[in-house]
Amino acid sequence: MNISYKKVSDHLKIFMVQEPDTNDFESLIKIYNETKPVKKVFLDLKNCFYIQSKNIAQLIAFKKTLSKDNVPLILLNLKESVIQVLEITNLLPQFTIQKDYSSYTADELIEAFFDPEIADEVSDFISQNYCEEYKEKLFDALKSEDPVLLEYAIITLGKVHEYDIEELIPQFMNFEVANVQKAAILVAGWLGIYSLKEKIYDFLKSEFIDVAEAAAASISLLSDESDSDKLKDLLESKDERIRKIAAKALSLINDDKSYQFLKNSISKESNESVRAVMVKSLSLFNKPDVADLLIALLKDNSEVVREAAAASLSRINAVGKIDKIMEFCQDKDEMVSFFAIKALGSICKDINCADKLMHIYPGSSTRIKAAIIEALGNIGIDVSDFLYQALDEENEDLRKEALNSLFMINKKMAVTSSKELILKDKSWVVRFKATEILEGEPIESVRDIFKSALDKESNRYVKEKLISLVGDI
Amino acid sequence: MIDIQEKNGKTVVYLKGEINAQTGLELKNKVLEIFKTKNFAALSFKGVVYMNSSGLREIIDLLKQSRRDKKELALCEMSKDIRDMFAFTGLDKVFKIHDSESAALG
Repeated sequence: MNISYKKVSDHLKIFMVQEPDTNDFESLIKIYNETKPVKKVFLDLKNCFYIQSKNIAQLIAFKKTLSKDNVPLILLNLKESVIQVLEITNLLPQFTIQKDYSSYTADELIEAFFDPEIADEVSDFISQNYCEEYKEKLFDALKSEDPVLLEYAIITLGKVHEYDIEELIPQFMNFEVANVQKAAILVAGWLGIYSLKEKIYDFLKSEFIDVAEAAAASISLLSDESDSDKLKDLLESKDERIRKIAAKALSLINDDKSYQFLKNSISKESNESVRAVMVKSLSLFNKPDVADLLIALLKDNSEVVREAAAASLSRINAVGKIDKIMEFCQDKDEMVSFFAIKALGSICKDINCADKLMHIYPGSSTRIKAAIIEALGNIGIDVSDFLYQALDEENEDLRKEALNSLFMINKKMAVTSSKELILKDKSWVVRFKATEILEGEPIESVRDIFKSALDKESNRYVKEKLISLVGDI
Repeated sequence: MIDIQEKNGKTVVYLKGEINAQTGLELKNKVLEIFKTKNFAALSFKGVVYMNSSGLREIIDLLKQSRRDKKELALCEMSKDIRDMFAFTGLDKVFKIHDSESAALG
Protein backbone atom coordinates (compact mmCIF):
# COMPACT_ATOMS: atom_id res chain seq x y z
CA MET A 1 0.00 0.00 0.00
CA ASN A 2 1.54 3.30 -1.11
CA ILE A 3 -0.92 5.69 0.35
CA SER A 4 -0.75 6.78 3.96
CA TYR A 5 -3.41 7.80 6.42
CA LYS A 6 -3.98 9.05 9.94
CA LYS A 7 -6.97 8.95 12.19
CA VAL A 8 -7.59 11.69 14.74
CA SER A 9 -10.62 10.97 16.95
CA ASP A 10 -13.44 10.18 14.46
CA HIS A 11 -11.80 11.82 11.47
CA LEU A 12 -9.86 9.77 8.95
CA LYS A 13 -7.44 11.56 6.65
CA ILE A 14 -6.00 9.67 3.70
CA PHE A 15 -3.05 11.04 1.71
CA MET A 16 -3.11 10.04 -1.96
CA VAL A 17 0.13 9.44 -3.85
CA GLN A 18 1.40 11.53 -6.76
CA GLU A 19 0.33 9.17 -9.54
CA PRO A 20 -2.35 6.92 -8.11
CA ASP A 21 -3.27 3.68 -9.86
CA THR A 22 -6.15 1.26 -9.57
CA ASN A 23 -4.62 -0.45 -6.52
CA ASP A 24 -4.33 2.84 -4.68
CA PHE A 25 -7.98 3.64 -5.23
CA GLU A 26 -8.99 0.10 -4.25
CA SER A 27 -7.13 0.51 -0.99
CA LEU A 28 -9.30 3.47 0.03
CA ILE A 29 -12.18 1.19 0.99
CA LYS A 30 -9.80 -1.18 2.79
CA ILE A 31 -8.36 1.66 4.86
CA TYR A 32 -11.83 2.88 5.72
CA ASN A 33 -13.00 -0.57 6.80
CA GLU A 34 -9.89 -1.09 8.92
CA THR A 35 -10.26 2.25 10.72
CA LYS A 36 -13.99 2.18 11.45
CA PRO A 37 -15.79 3.75 13.26
CA VAL A 38 -15.23 6.99 11.40
CA LYS A 39 -17.47 10.07 11.20
CA LYS A 40 -15.75 11.96 8.39
CA VAL A 41 -13.25 11.01 5.71
CA PHE A 42 -10.82 13.49 4.15
CA LEU A 43 -8.99 12.45 1.01
CA ASP A 44 -5.96 14.70 0.61
CA LEU A 45 -4.95 15.03 -3.05
CA LYS A 46 -2.25 17.65 -2.51
CA ASN A 47 0.44 15.49 -4.11
CA CYS A 48 -1.80 14.02 -6.77
CA PHE A 49 -1.31 15.67 -10.14
CA TYR A 50 -3.73 13.60 -12.18
CA ILE A 51 -6.53 11.07 -11.82
CA GLN A 52 -7.22 8.80 -14.74
CA SER A 53 -10.83 8.69 -15.82
CA LYS A 54 -11.04 4.96 -15.08
CA ASN A 55 -10.14 5.71 -11.44
CA ILE A 56 -12.95 8.23 -11.15
CA ALA A 57 -15.41 5.31 -11.01
CA GLN A 58 -13.47 3.94 -8.03
CA LEU A 59 -13.63 7.32 -6.32
CA ILE A 60 -17.40 7.34 -6.82
CA ALA A 61 -17.62 3.79 -5.48
CA PHE A 62 -15.67 4.91 -2.38
CA LYS A 63 -18.05 7.82 -1.90
CA LYS A 64 -21.02 5.44 -2.20
CA THR A 65 -19.53 3.08 0.39
CA LEU A 66 -19.17 5.98 2.80
CA SER A 67 -22.66 7.28 2.02
CA LYS A 68 -24.16 3.93 3.10
CA ASP A 69 -22.67 4.60 6.56
CA ASN A 70 -23.68 8.29 6.43
CA VAL A 71 -20.01 9.28 6.42
CA PRO A 72 -19.21 12.37 4.33
CA LEU A 73 -16.20 12.41 2.01
CA ILE A 74 -14.26 15.64 1.68
CA LEU A 75 -11.63 16.06 -1.02
CA LEU A 76 -8.72 18.24 0.06
CA ASN A 77 -6.17 20.36 -1.79
CA LEU A 78 -7.11 19.48 -5.37
CA LYS A 79 -4.74 20.49 -8.16
CA GLU A 80 -6.25 22.33 -11.10
CA SER A 81 -5.65 19.28 -13.33
CA VAL A 82 -7.71 17.06 -11.00
CA ILE A 83 -10.49 19.64 -10.83
CA GLN A 84 -10.55 19.67 -14.63
CA VAL A 85 -11.02 15.89 -14.77
CA LEU A 86 -13.96 16.15 -12.37
CA GLU A 87 -15.39 19.04 -14.38
CA ILE A 88 -15.13 17.18 -17.69
CA THR A 89 -16.91 14.19 -16.19
CA ASN A 90 -19.58 16.47 -14.65
CA LEU A 91 -18.75 15.09 -11.23
CA LEU A 92 -17.45 18.23 -9.59
CA PRO A 93 -20.79 19.10 -7.91
CA GLN A 94 -20.89 15.61 -6.38
CA PHE A 95 -17.93 16.32 -4.11
CA THR A 96 -17.22 18.59 -1.21
CA ILE A 97 -13.88 20.22 -1.89
CA GLN A 98 -11.82 22.11 0.67
CA LYS A 99 -8.34 23.44 1.30
CA ASP A 100 -6.39 22.11 4.27
CA TYR A 101 -3.10 23.88 4.76
CA SER A 102 -2.08 21.59 7.62
CA SER A 103 -0.91 19.17 4.90
CA TYR A 104 1.58 21.75 3.63
CA THR A 105 5.18 21.96 4.79
CA ALA A 106 6.45 25.32 6.00
CA ASP A 107 8.35 25.79 2.74
CA GLU A 108 5.24 24.98 0.69
CA LEU A 109 3.24 27.50 2.69
CA ILE A 110 5.76 30.27 2.04
CA GLU A 111 5.78 29.29 -1.66
CA ALA A 112 1.98 29.60 -1.68
CA PHE A 113 2.32 33.37 -1.08
CA PHE A 114 2.98 33.55 -4.81
CA ASP A 115 -0.46 32.14 -5.58
CA PRO A 116 -2.81 35.15 -5.40
CA GLU A 117 -5.86 32.90 -5.03
CA ILE A 118 -4.72 31.40 -1.74
CA ALA A 119 -2.05 33.80 -0.43
CA ASP A 120 -4.39 35.48 2.07
CA GLU A 121 -5.71 32.14 3.34
CA VAL A 122 -2.19 30.84 3.75
CA SER A 123 -1.19 33.95 5.67
CA ASP A 124 -4.21 33.43 7.96
CA PHE A 125 -3.31 29.77 8.42
CA ILE A 126 0.27 30.60 9.39
CA SER A 127 -0.86 33.27 11.82
CA GLN A 128 -3.35 30.90 13.46
CA ASN A 129 -0.74 28.16 13.81
CA TYR A 130 2.31 30.34 14.37
CA CYS A 131 5.33 28.47 15.73
CA GLU A 132 9.14 28.68 15.74
CA GLU A 133 9.39 26.88 12.39
CA TYR A 134 7.01 29.32 10.67
CA LYS A 135 8.79 32.25 12.32
CA GLU A 136 12.12 31.06 10.96
CA LYS A 137 10.71 30.64 7.43
CA LEU A 138 9.03 34.04 7.49
CA PHE A 139 12.23 35.75 8.59
CA ASP A 140 14.07 33.86 5.83
CA ALA A 141 11.50 35.26 3.39
CA LEU A 142 12.33 38.76 4.65
CA LYS A 143 15.82 38.29 3.23
CA SER A 144 14.33 37.95 -0.25
CA GLU A 145 14.11 40.81 -2.74
CA ASP A 146 10.78 39.56 -4.08
CA PRO A 147 8.10 42.15 -3.25
CA VAL A 148 5.24 39.61 -3.09
CA LEU A 149 7.13 37.43 -0.64
CA LEU A 150 8.15 40.44 1.42
CA GLU A 151 4.65 41.87 1.53
CA TYR A 152 3.07 38.64 2.77
CA ALA A 153 5.87 37.85 5.21
CA ILE A 154 5.61 41.34 6.76
CA ILE A 155 1.81 41.22 6.96
CA THR A 156 1.82 37.72 8.45
CA LEU A 157 4.41 38.65 11.09
CA GLY A 158 2.32 41.74 11.85
CA LYS A 159 -0.80 39.65 12.29
CA VAL A 160 0.88 37.55 14.99
CA HIS A 161 2.34 40.61 16.72
CA GLU A 162 5.89 39.40 16.17
CA TYR A 163 7.90 42.18 17.76
CA ASP A 164 11.20 40.80 16.43
CA ILE A 165 10.26 42.42 13.10
CA GLU A 166 10.19 45.89 14.69
CA GLU A 167 13.79 46.82 13.89
CA LEU A 168 13.36 45.71 10.26
CA ILE A 169 10.25 47.81 9.60
CA PRO A 170 12.10 51.06 8.70
CA GLN A 171 14.10 49.32 5.95
CA PHE A 172 10.91 47.90 4.42
CA MET A 173 9.25 51.32 4.56
CA ASN A 174 12.09 52.44 2.29
CA PHE A 175 11.74 49.48 -0.08
CA GLU A 176 11.19 50.55 -3.67
CA VAL A 177 7.85 48.73 -4.17
CA ALA A 178 4.66 50.37 -2.88
CA ASN A 179 3.02 47.17 -1.59
CA VAL A 180 6.00 46.46 0.66
CA GLN A 181 5.99 50.04 1.94
CA LYS A 182 2.28 49.78 2.65
CA ALA A 183 2.68 46.47 4.50
CA ALA A 184 5.48 47.87 6.66
CA ILE A 185 3.50 51.04 7.47
CA LEU A 186 0.38 49.07 8.43
CA VAL A 187 2.35 46.71 10.64
CA ALA A 188 3.99 49.69 12.39
CA GLY A 189 0.46 50.83 13.28
CA TRP A 190 -0.68 47.38 14.42
CA LEU A 191 2.38 46.86 16.60
CA GLY A 192 2.15 50.35 18.05
CA ILE A 193 5.67 51.40 17.02
CA TYR A 194 5.34 55.04 18.11
CA SER A 195 8.97 55.84 17.29
CA LEU A 196 8.17 55.50 13.57
CA LYS A 197 5.23 57.91 13.52
CA GLU A 198 7.22 60.90 12.29
CA LYS A 199 8.73 58.82 9.52
CA ILE A 200 5.25 57.60 8.51
CA TYR A 201 4.18 61.23 8.00
CA ASP A 202 6.52 61.38 4.98
CA PHE A 203 4.41 58.74 3.23
CA LEU A 204 1.30 60.91 3.29
CA LYS A 205 2.86 62.55 0.24
CA SER A 206 3.39 59.23 -1.57
CA GLU A 207 2.36 59.16 -5.21
CA PHE A 208 0.75 55.79 -4.45
CA ILE A 209 -2.61 56.43 -2.84
CA ASP A 210 -2.61 53.04 -1.05
CA VAL A 211 0.62 53.97 0.69
CA ALA A 212 -0.72 57.41 1.66
CA GLU A 213 -3.90 55.79 2.99
CA ALA A 214 -1.93 53.24 5.03
CA ALA A 215 0.16 56.11 6.43
CA ALA A 216 -2.93 58.09 7.48
CA ALA A 217 -4.46 54.99 9.05
CA SER A 218 -1.32 54.10 11.00
CA ILE A 219 -0.89 57.70 12.17
CA SER A 220 -4.45 57.49 13.51
CA LEU A 221 -3.62 54.30 15.39
CA LEU A 222 -0.45 55.88 16.81
CA SER A 223 -2.05 59.28 17.42
CA ASP A 224 -1.78 61.58 20.39
CA GLU A 225 -3.29 65.04 20.90
CA SER A 226 -0.92 66.65 18.38
CA ASP A 227 -1.78 64.62 15.29
CA SER A 228 -5.13 66.12 14.33
CA ASP A 229 -3.38 69.49 13.93
CA LYS A 230 -0.91 67.93 11.51
CA LEU A 231 -3.53 65.98 9.54
CA LYS A 232 -5.89 68.92 9.13
CA ASP A 233 -3.64 70.41 6.44
CA LEU A 234 -4.43 67.40 4.29
CA LEU A 235 -8.07 68.49 4.21
CA GLU A 236 -6.86 71.23 1.88
CA SER A 237 -4.75 68.98 -0.35
CA LYS A 238 -5.17 69.44 -4.10
CA ASP A 239 -5.67 65.71 -4.42
CA GLU A 240 -9.27 64.81 -3.60
CA ARG A 241 -8.22 61.29 -2.59
CA ILE A 242 -5.94 62.73 0.09
CA ARG A 243 -8.78 64.93 1.38
CA LYS A 244 -10.96 61.82 1.74
CA ILE A 245 -8.19 59.96 3.54
CA ALA A 246 -7.68 62.90 5.91
CA ALA A 247 -11.40 62.92 6.76
CA LYS A 248 -11.30 59.19 7.58
CA ALA A 249 -8.15 59.55 9.68
CA LEU A 250 -9.58 62.48 11.66
CA SER A 251 -12.80 60.58 12.35
CA LEU A 252 -10.74 57.66 13.64
CA ILE A 253 -8.72 59.96 15.95
CA ASN A 254 -12.10 61.35 16.98
CA ASP A 255 -10.99 64.12 19.34
CA ASP A 256 -12.58 67.56 19.71
CA LYS A 257 -10.08 69.24 17.41
CA SER A 258 -10.63 66.69 14.65
CA TYR A 259 -14.35 67.32 14.93
CA GLN A 260 -13.96 71.06 14.52
CA PHE A 261 -11.60 70.67 11.56
CA LEU A 262 -14.02 68.39 9.76
CA LYS A 263 -17.03 70.54 10.54
CA ASN A 264 -15.27 73.61 9.16
CA SER A 265 -14.09 71.79 6.04
CA ILE A 266 -17.50 70.54 4.92
CA SER A 267 -18.74 74.03 4.13
CA LYS A 268 -15.54 74.89 2.24
CA GLU A 269 -15.28 71.65 0.27
CA SER A 270 -16.49 71.97 -3.32
CA ASN A 271 -16.17 68.35 -4.43
CA GLU A 272 -19.40 66.49 -3.63
CA SER A 273 -17.84 63.04 -3.26
CA VAL A 274 -15.27 64.39 -0.77
CA ARG A 275 -18.07 66.24 1.05
CA ALA A 276 -20.05 62.99 1.25
CA VAL A 277 -17.06 61.25 2.87
CA MET A 278 -16.74 64.18 5.27
CA VAL A 279 -20.44 63.91 6.17
CA LYS A 280 -20.04 60.24 6.96
CA SER A 281 -16.85 60.92 8.92
CA LEU A 282 -18.61 63.63 10.91
CA SER A 283 -21.41 61.23 11.83
CA LEU A 284 -18.82 58.99 13.49
CA PHE A 285 -18.35 61.59 16.25
CA ASN A 286 -20.58 61.18 19.28
CA LYS A 287 -21.42 64.88 19.58
CA PRO A 288 -24.77 66.47 20.45
CA ASP A 289 -24.91 68.75 17.41
CA VAL A 290 -24.10 66.10 14.79
CA ALA A 291 -27.76 65.22 14.14
CA ASP A 292 -28.67 68.88 13.51
CA LEU A 293 -25.73 69.25 11.13
CA LEU A 294 -26.84 66.16 9.24
CA ILE A 295 -30.44 67.38 9.05
CA ALA A 296 -29.22 70.67 7.59
CA LEU A 297 -27.19 68.70 5.04
CA LEU A 298 -30.40 67.02 3.80
CA LYS A 299 -30.82 70.33 1.95
CA ASP A 300 -27.32 70.35 0.48
CA ASN A 301 -27.06 71.19 -3.22
CA SER A 302 -25.63 67.77 -3.95
CA GLU A 303 -27.82 64.65 -3.97
CA VAL A 304 -24.76 62.57 -3.07
CA VAL A 305 -24.32 64.62 0.09
CA ARG A 306 -28.04 64.47 0.91
CA GLU A 307 -27.95 60.71 0.57
CA ALA A 308 -24.88 60.50 2.84
CA ALA A 309 -26.63 62.72 5.39
CA ALA A 310 -29.80 60.57 5.32
CA ALA A 311 -27.79 57.36 5.70
CA SER A 312 -25.80 58.91 8.55
CA LEU A 313 -28.98 60.00 10.36
CA SER A 314 -30.15 56.39 10.15
CA ARG A 315 -26.81 55.09 11.37
CA ILE A 316 -26.74 57.28 14.46
CA ASN A 317 -30.44 56.47 14.98
CA ALA A 318 -31.44 60.11 15.46
CA VAL A 319 -34.78 59.35 17.13
CA GLY A 320 -34.66 62.63 19.05
CA LYS A 321 -34.81 64.51 15.75
CA ILE A 322 -37.81 62.79 14.16
CA ASP A 323 -40.02 65.90 14.29
CA LYS A 324 -37.35 67.95 12.53
CA ILE A 325 -36.86 65.30 9.84
CA MET A 326 -40.64 65.09 9.37
CA GLU A 327 -40.70 68.78 8.52
CA PHE A 328 -38.45 68.00 5.53
CA CYS A 329 -40.76 65.26 4.21
CA GLN A 330 -42.90 67.82 2.36
CA ASP A 331 -40.14 70.07 1.15
CA LYS A 332 -40.72 71.81 -2.15
CA ASP A 333 -37.51 70.19 -3.41
CA GLU A 334 -38.59 66.62 -4.15
CA MET A 335 -35.15 65.14 -3.48
CA VAL A 336 -35.00 66.75 -0.03
CA SER A 337 -38.33 65.05 0.76
CA PHE A 338 -37.11 61.79 -0.74
CA PHE A 339 -34.04 61.53 1.50
CA ALA A 340 -35.93 62.78 4.58
CA ILE A 341 -38.54 60.03 4.05
CA LYS A 342 -35.79 57.44 3.65
CA ALA A 343 -34.13 58.57 6.89
CA LEU A 344 -37.47 58.61 8.70
CA GLY A 345 -38.27 55.09 7.52
CA SER A 346 -35.13 53.67 9.06
CA ILE A 347 -35.22 55.65 12.31
CA CYS A 348 -38.87 55.88 13.28
CA LYS A 349 -40.95 52.99 14.64
CA ASP A 350 -43.89 55.19 15.62
CA ILE A 351 -47.49 55.39 14.39
CA ASN A 352 -47.18 59.18 14.05
CA CYS A 353 -44.51 58.78 11.38
CA ALA A 354 -46.64 56.24 9.49
CA ASP A 355 -49.68 58.56 9.74
CA LYS A 356 -47.68 61.53 8.48
CA LEU A 357 -46.34 59.58 5.50
CA MET A 358 -49.76 58.17 4.59
CA HIS A 359 -51.14 61.70 4.83
CA ILE A 360 -48.70 63.11 2.28
CA TYR A 361 -48.97 60.08 -0.03
CA PRO A 362 -51.93 61.23 -2.18
CA GLY A 363 -50.80 63.76 -4.75
CA SER A 364 -47.11 62.90 -4.33
CA SER A 365 -44.87 62.00 -7.26
CA THR A 366 -44.12 58.36 -8.05
CA ARG A 367 -40.62 58.64 -6.58
CA ILE A 368 -41.98 60.02 -3.28
CA LYS A 369 -44.75 57.43 -3.20
CA ALA A 370 -42.22 54.64 -3.65
CA ALA A 371 -40.10 56.08 -0.83
CA ILE A 372 -43.17 56.30 1.42
CA ILE A 373 -44.19 52.70 0.72
CA GLU A 374 -40.66 51.48 1.44
CA ALA A 375 -40.49 53.58 4.62
CA LEU A 376 -43.84 52.19 5.84
CA GLY A 377 -42.45 48.67 5.52
CA ASN A 378 -39.39 49.67 7.54
CA ILE A 379 -41.38 51.50 10.22
CA GLY A 380 -43.23 48.25 10.82
CA ILE A 381 -46.56 49.65 12.12
CA ASP A 382 -49.49 47.64 10.73
CA VAL A 383 -50.76 49.74 7.84
CA SER A 384 -51.82 46.68 5.84
CA ASP A 385 -55.02 48.24 4.50
CA PHE A 386 -53.13 51.22 3.11
CA LEU A 387 -50.53 48.99 1.43
CA TYR A 388 -53.25 46.65 0.15
CA GLN A 389 -54.84 49.61 -1.62
CA ALA A 390 -51.46 50.55 -3.08
CA LEU A 391 -51.45 47.18 -4.85
CA ASP A 392 -53.96 48.82 -7.24
CA GLU A 393 -51.56 51.62 -8.20
CA GLU A 394 -51.09 52.08 -11.94
CA ASN A 395 -47.29 52.15 -11.63
CA GLU A 396 -45.73 48.67 -11.48
CA ASP A 397 -42.83 49.72 -9.22
CA LEU A 398 -45.27 51.04 -6.65
CA ARG A 399 -47.25 47.77 -6.73
CA LYS A 400 -44.05 45.78 -6.31
CA GLU A 401 -42.85 47.97 -3.40
CA ALA A 402 -46.30 47.77 -1.80
CA LEU A 403 -46.22 43.96 -1.97
CA ASN A 404 -42.74 43.94 -0.46
CA SER A 405 -43.68 46.27 2.39
CA LEU A 406 -46.89 44.34 2.99
CA PHE A 407 -44.79 41.19 3.35
CA MET A 408 -42.65 42.95 5.97
CA ILE A 409 -45.57 43.88 8.19
CA ASN A 410 -48.35 41.38 7.38
CA LYS A 411 -47.00 38.18 5.89
CA LYS A 412 -50.38 36.45 5.76
CA MET A 413 -51.99 39.23 3.73
CA ALA A 414 -48.92 39.46 1.47
CA VAL A 415 -49.10 35.71 0.74
CA THR A 416 -52.83 35.89 -0.04
CA SER A 417 -52.24 38.87 -2.33
CA SER A 418 -49.29 37.17 -4.00
CA LYS A 419 -51.43 34.15 -4.86
CA GLU A 420 -53.69 36.49 -6.85
CA LEU A 421 -50.99 38.72 -8.31
CA ILE A 422 -48.82 35.87 -9.59
CA LEU A 423 -51.68 34.96 -11.92
CA LYS A 424 -53.29 38.31 -12.63
CA ASP A 425 -50.88 41.22 -12.44
CA LYS A 426 -50.00 42.65 -15.84
CA SER A 427 -46.40 43.46 -14.81
CA TRP A 428 -43.75 40.74 -14.69
CA VAL A 429 -41.89 42.72 -12.02
CA VAL A 430 -44.86 42.30 -9.68
CA ARG A 431 -45.37 38.66 -10.66
CA PHE A 432 -41.69 38.00 -9.94
CA LYS A 433 -41.97 39.59 -6.49
CA ALA A 434 -45.13 37.52 -5.83
CA THR A 435 -43.24 34.37 -6.82
CA GLU A 436 -40.41 35.27 -4.46
CA ILE A 437 -42.88 35.71 -1.59
CA LEU A 438 -44.63 32.40 -2.30
CA GLU A 439 -41.29 30.62 -2.57
CA GLY A 440 -41.07 30.66 1.23
CA GLU A 441 -44.44 28.92 1.67
CA PRO A 442 -44.94 25.15 2.22
CA ILE A 443 -44.75 23.43 -1.16
CA GLU A 444 -48.15 21.77 -0.90
CA SER A 445 -49.90 25.13 -0.48
CA VAL A 446 -48.37 26.69 -3.62
CA ARG A 447 -47.75 23.74 -5.94
CA ASP A 448 -50.93 24.19 -8.00
CA ILE A 449 -50.53 27.97 -8.14
CA PHE A 450 -46.97 27.67 -9.44
CA LYS A 451 -48.09 25.19 -12.10
CA SER A 452 -51.01 27.42 -13.22
CA ALA A 453 -48.73 30.46 -13.29
CA LEU A 454 -46.16 28.57 -15.34
CA ASP A 455 -48.81 27.60 -17.91
CA LYS A 456 -49.77 31.25 -18.39
CA GLU A 457 -46.37 32.92 -17.95
CA SER A 458 -44.72 34.54 -20.96
CA ASN A 459 -41.91 36.48 -19.27
CA ARG A 460 -38.55 34.74 -19.41
CA TYR A 461 -37.35 35.68 -15.91
CA VAL A 462 -40.55 34.71 -14.11
CA LYS A 463 -40.75 31.55 -16.17
CA GLU A 464 -37.20 30.53 -15.24
CA LYS A 465 -37.93 31.21 -11.58
CA LEU A 466 -41.13 29.16 -11.70
CA ILE A 467 -39.43 26.30 -13.55
CA SER A 468 -36.74 26.15 -10.87
CA LEU A 469 -39.44 26.03 -8.17
CA VAL A 470 -41.70 23.55 -9.96
CA GLY A 471 -38.59 21.49 -10.71
CA ASP A 472 -37.83 21.38 -6.99
CA ILE A 473 -41.35 20.13 -6.37
CA MET B 1 -21.87 48.86 27.40
CA ILE B 2 -21.13 45.13 27.70
CA ASP B 3 -23.55 42.22 27.94
CA ILE B 4 -22.18 38.68 28.16
CA GLN B 5 -24.20 35.63 27.16
CA GLU B 6 -23.52 31.94 26.70
CA LYS B 7 -24.71 30.50 23.39
CA ASN B 8 -24.34 26.73 22.87
CA GLY B 9 -21.45 26.63 25.31
CA LYS B 10 -19.66 29.56 23.68
CA THR B 11 -19.32 33.08 25.07
CA VAL B 12 -20.70 36.03 23.15
CA VAL B 13 -19.85 39.55 24.33
CA TYR B 14 -22.36 42.11 23.07
CA LEU B 15 -20.89 45.60 22.79
CA LYS B 16 -23.03 48.72 22.81
CA GLY B 17 -22.64 52.40 22.09
CA GLU B 18 -19.10 53.74 21.89
CA ILE B 19 -15.74 52.00 22.00
CA ASN B 20 -13.15 54.49 23.20
CA ALA B 21 -10.11 54.36 25.47
CA GLN B 22 -12.18 53.84 28.60
CA THR B 23 -14.80 51.41 27.30
CA GLY B 24 -12.17 49.62 25.21
CA LEU B 25 -10.06 49.01 28.32
CA GLU B 26 -13.14 47.80 30.18
CA LEU B 27 -13.92 45.44 27.31
CA LYS B 28 -10.36 44.13 27.19
CA ASN B 29 -10.32 43.37 30.92
CA LYS B 30 -13.72 41.66 30.77
CA VAL B 31 -12.71 39.41 27.90
CA LEU B 32 -9.35 38.58 29.48
CA GLU B 33 -11.32 37.60 32.58
CA ILE B 34 -13.49 35.33 30.43
CA PHE B 35 -10.35 33.78 28.95
CA LYS B 36 -9.27 32.61 32.40
CA THR B 37 -11.89 29.88 32.11
CA LYS B 38 -12.78 29.79 28.39
CA ASN B 39 -10.81 29.36 25.20
CA PHE B 40 -13.12 31.27 22.88
CA ALA B 41 -15.10 34.50 22.85
CA ALA B 42 -17.03 36.26 20.10
CA LEU B 43 -17.44 40.03 20.20
CA SER B 44 -20.68 41.21 18.64
CA PHE B 45 -20.45 44.77 17.32
CA LYS B 46 -24.14 44.94 16.44
CA GLY B 47 -24.82 47.69 18.99
CA VAL B 48 -21.63 49.68 18.35
CA VAL B 49 -22.30 53.10 16.83
CA TYR B 50 -19.01 54.87 17.52
CA MET B 51 -15.41 53.73 17.77
CA ASN B 52 -12.13 55.64 17.81
CA SER B 53 -8.46 54.77 17.46
CA SER B 54 -7.97 54.54 21.24
CA GLY B 55 -10.74 51.92 21.43
CA LEU B 56 -9.27 50.12 18.46
CA ARG B 57 -5.86 50.04 20.15
CA GLU B 58 -7.40 48.29 23.17
CA ILE B 59 -8.99 45.69 20.90
CA ILE B 60 -5.62 45.13 19.16
CA ASP B 61 -4.03 44.69 22.58
CA LEU B 62 -6.77 42.23 23.52
CA LEU B 63 -6.05 40.18 20.42
CA LYS B 64 -2.33 40.25 21.15
CA GLN B 65 -2.86 38.93 24.67
CA SER B 66 -5.40 36.36 23.44
CA ARG B 67 -2.92 35.01 20.91
CA ARG B 68 -0.19 34.86 23.52
CA ASP B 69 -2.47 32.79 25.76
CA LYS B 70 -3.66 30.61 22.83
CA LYS B 71 -7.24 31.89 23.10
CA GLU B 72 -9.53 32.46 20.15
CA LEU B 73 -11.22 35.79 19.54
CA ALA B 74 -13.84 36.28 16.81
CA LEU B 75 -15.53 39.54 15.81
CA CYS B 76 -18.97 39.70 14.23
CA GLU B 77 -22.06 41.73 13.25
CA MET B 78 -20.27 44.97 12.40
CA SER B 79 -22.06 47.83 10.69
CA LYS B 80 -20.53 48.87 7.40
CA ASP B 81 -19.00 51.98 8.98
CA ILE B 82 -17.29 50.08 11.78
CA ARG B 83 -16.05 47.47 9.32
CA ASP B 84 -14.71 50.30 7.15
CA MET B 85 -12.58 51.43 10.11
CA PHE B 86 -11.06 47.96 10.34
CA ALA B 87 -10.46 47.95 6.58
CA PHE B 88 -8.94 51.46 6.62
CA THR B 89 -6.33 50.38 9.16
CA GLY B 90 -5.78 46.98 7.51
CA LEU B 91 -7.00 45.33 10.69
CA ASP B 92 -9.61 43.38 8.74
CA LYS B 93 -6.65 41.14 7.82
CA VAL B 94 -5.62 40.73 11.44
CA PHE B 95 -8.94 39.87 13.08
CA LYS B 96 -11.34 37.08 12.21
CA ILE B 97 -14.41 39.11 11.25
CA HIS B 98 -17.68 37.30 10.55
CA ASP B 99 -20.88 38.75 9.14
CA SER B 100 -23.16 36.97 11.59
CA GLU B 101 -23.04 35.71 15.15
CA SER B 102 -23.78 32.16 13.99
CA ALA B 103 -20.81 32.26 11.61
CA ALA B 104 -18.57 33.49 14.43
CA LEU B 105 -19.73 30.66 16.66
CA GLY B 106 -19.01 28.19 13.86
